[in-house]
Amino acid sequence: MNNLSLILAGVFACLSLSWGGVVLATQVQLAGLAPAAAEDGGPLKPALAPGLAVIGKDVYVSQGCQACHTQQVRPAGQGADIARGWGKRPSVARDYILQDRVLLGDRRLGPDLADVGTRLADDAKLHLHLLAPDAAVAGSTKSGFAHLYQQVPAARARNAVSLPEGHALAPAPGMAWVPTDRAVALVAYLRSLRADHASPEAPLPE
Amino acid sequence: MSLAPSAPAAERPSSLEETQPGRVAPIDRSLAPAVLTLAAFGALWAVVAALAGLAASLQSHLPGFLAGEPLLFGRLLAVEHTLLTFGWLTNAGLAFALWAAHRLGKVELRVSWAPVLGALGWNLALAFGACALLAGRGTGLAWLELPRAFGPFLTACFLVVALWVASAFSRRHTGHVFVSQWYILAAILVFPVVHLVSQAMVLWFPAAGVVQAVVAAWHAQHLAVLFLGSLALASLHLVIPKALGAPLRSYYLAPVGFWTFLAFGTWSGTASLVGSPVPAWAQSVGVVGAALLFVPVLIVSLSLLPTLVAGGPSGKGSAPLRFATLGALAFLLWGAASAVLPFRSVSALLRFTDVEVAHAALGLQGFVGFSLLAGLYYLLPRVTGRAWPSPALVAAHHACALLGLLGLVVTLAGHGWLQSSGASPEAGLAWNAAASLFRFLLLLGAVAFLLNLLLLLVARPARRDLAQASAR
Ligand code: HEC
Repeated sequence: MNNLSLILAGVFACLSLSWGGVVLATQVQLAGLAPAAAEDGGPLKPALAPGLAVIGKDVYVSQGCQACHTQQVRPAGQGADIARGWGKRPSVARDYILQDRVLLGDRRLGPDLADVGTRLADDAKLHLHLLAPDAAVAGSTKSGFAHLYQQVPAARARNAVSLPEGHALAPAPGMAWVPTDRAVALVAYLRSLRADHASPEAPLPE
Repeated sequence: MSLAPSAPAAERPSSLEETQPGRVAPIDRSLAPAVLTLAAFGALWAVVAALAGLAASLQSHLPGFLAGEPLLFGRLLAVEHTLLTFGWLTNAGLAFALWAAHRLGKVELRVSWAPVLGALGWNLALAFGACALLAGRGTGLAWLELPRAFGPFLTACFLVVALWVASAFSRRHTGHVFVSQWYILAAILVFPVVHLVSQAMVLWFPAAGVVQAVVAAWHAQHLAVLFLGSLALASLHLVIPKALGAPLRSYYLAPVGFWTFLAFGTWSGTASLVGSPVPAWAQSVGVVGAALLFVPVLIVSLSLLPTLVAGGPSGKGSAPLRFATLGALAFLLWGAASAVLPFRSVSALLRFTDVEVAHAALGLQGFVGFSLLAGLYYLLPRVTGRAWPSPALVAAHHACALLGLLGLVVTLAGHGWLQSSGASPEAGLAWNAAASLFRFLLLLGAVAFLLNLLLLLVARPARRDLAQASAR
């Protein structure tokens, strides 16, 4: 047994067994999963995210949002996710099949975002959360992402993000904050994060 | 060929060369370039990782601190994690593995420039990788943060060093095989296999949906436990008996500990997916694996800890033994937490909270970090033929590391407990501030080690007694 190849073979056997038993087996079990309708004739879900949201997902990853936000609603009884209003139903494997990178996440310094697009179905609110979190949530401890916004003369500003009177980030007189392309894409991505449809595995309550 | 590593009688504290003052044994001399390269980069990355961790921690209670690109919270954490694991711990582990494989096999390192080249390649890639992470090119996945282009190159560099380790084993001049050598061989096989397979399944040819999460969890657990953890256990199994000059207690259990560690550890990855949308049976397998993993933790602890206790005060003042003691204790605590945290009722409360961050710190910085430090404190004086230049820096390192980690684990766990009660983030500010303080201590400790190591490298060959060196 004190032979190099025997020890390595033993170790390799352990690895292969668990790879086959866990990784490969899940792959086989889930391989057939495809968008499906919860009831006959209903829309097929999940649907492909719009192009802008796909770009926005790259912004999400590169800004490190996943360090504080998960994207998975746990079932009732397994944490208070649903009670906290983070989703009406638990996330299921089918919800993720069209995502090229699955960002379940493993730390929650902020709320879960799996269904944030339903909860905050408003571009302006989302922009405010990103530009100045403390303007969106009193006492927020989150650093803002002001570098995703720019100031332009108020007259030319479209989709300006308005801050409350006297906020530390208040734009210079005559100027206004507008989202950069990155912020626009990021918000499109956040809007696309929705789990408000029934799934064959997880019906909506009522 | 026996079925087990040889009896502890062979773990004699020292061989002839080691007892001659001021002299470096030929084996150690042949190892110096590669081992010192790895150790120096490791110590450097430990400082950078601690800096990144401190900066991120400060941001969590001082919103606006270093705000804006490139020092975003998420990027800093990715840098910290990558440099802690692949920078500090992997370099330290490889330095130890290379040294131990040759020392225990009583063979010199041949073609010593090759592992040096591997080490340089690995660390150069890491430097670029850290910049890529700061530039926002990370993947957003724990343990797989680096952009995928880095994976194959890093693995190739790793393999160069690993091959030299394996060749030392097959060229060995002794009939004895120590359990340390088993752990080392396991580690150098686990990393390349698991890292390449997982990179392929997540980054190059992504599996569909949550299978990615299963792969990522499987990968993370293998790298943390079966790769870094094995290296740490190799270090403990070697340093404790050697530095004490006494055989390990219950050494006959060591092979059982080794194989159960592998057999159970390999199934425990999905324990981190409890409550997630992956198939329930896969979660259960992980929970059972993580609970069973406590068996080898107990077996190994029942050998290491009584040996340390029996060694008594002779261990006092010896840096390798002081860190080995911390490493062995952290191992036991970490193992107990690993078994308990995945239980559904516990996970329902504590999953996603900073209790998990505390658990990871206990495992990586505590168990693995302290155990490998024991190895480095033991081997570097032998490789250089010099005593540690500053005993004060050694003491400072030990104090900062112990206090820093203890405080960090407690404050993170406290914050996690608060989070689990649904308190607002505002309520956690004080905990976060305390965590920053302890991270600062950890940074000081890492700086002390780096300084001492640099002094050791530039110091004139001193005519100090090596027995004295190892007693520091
Ligand atoms: C340092 C941790 C942290 C990071 C990084 C972070 N967030 Fe947050 N996020 C929070 C916290 C905490 C909250 C809770 C509200 C608050 O305190 O501002 C929150 C709230 C939110 C909300 C509102 C959710 C709701 O249900 O009200 C959205 C949307 C959001 N974050 C999106 C993002 C995006 C997009 C990013 C990346 C650009 C990001 N967050 C990065 C911590 C973070």
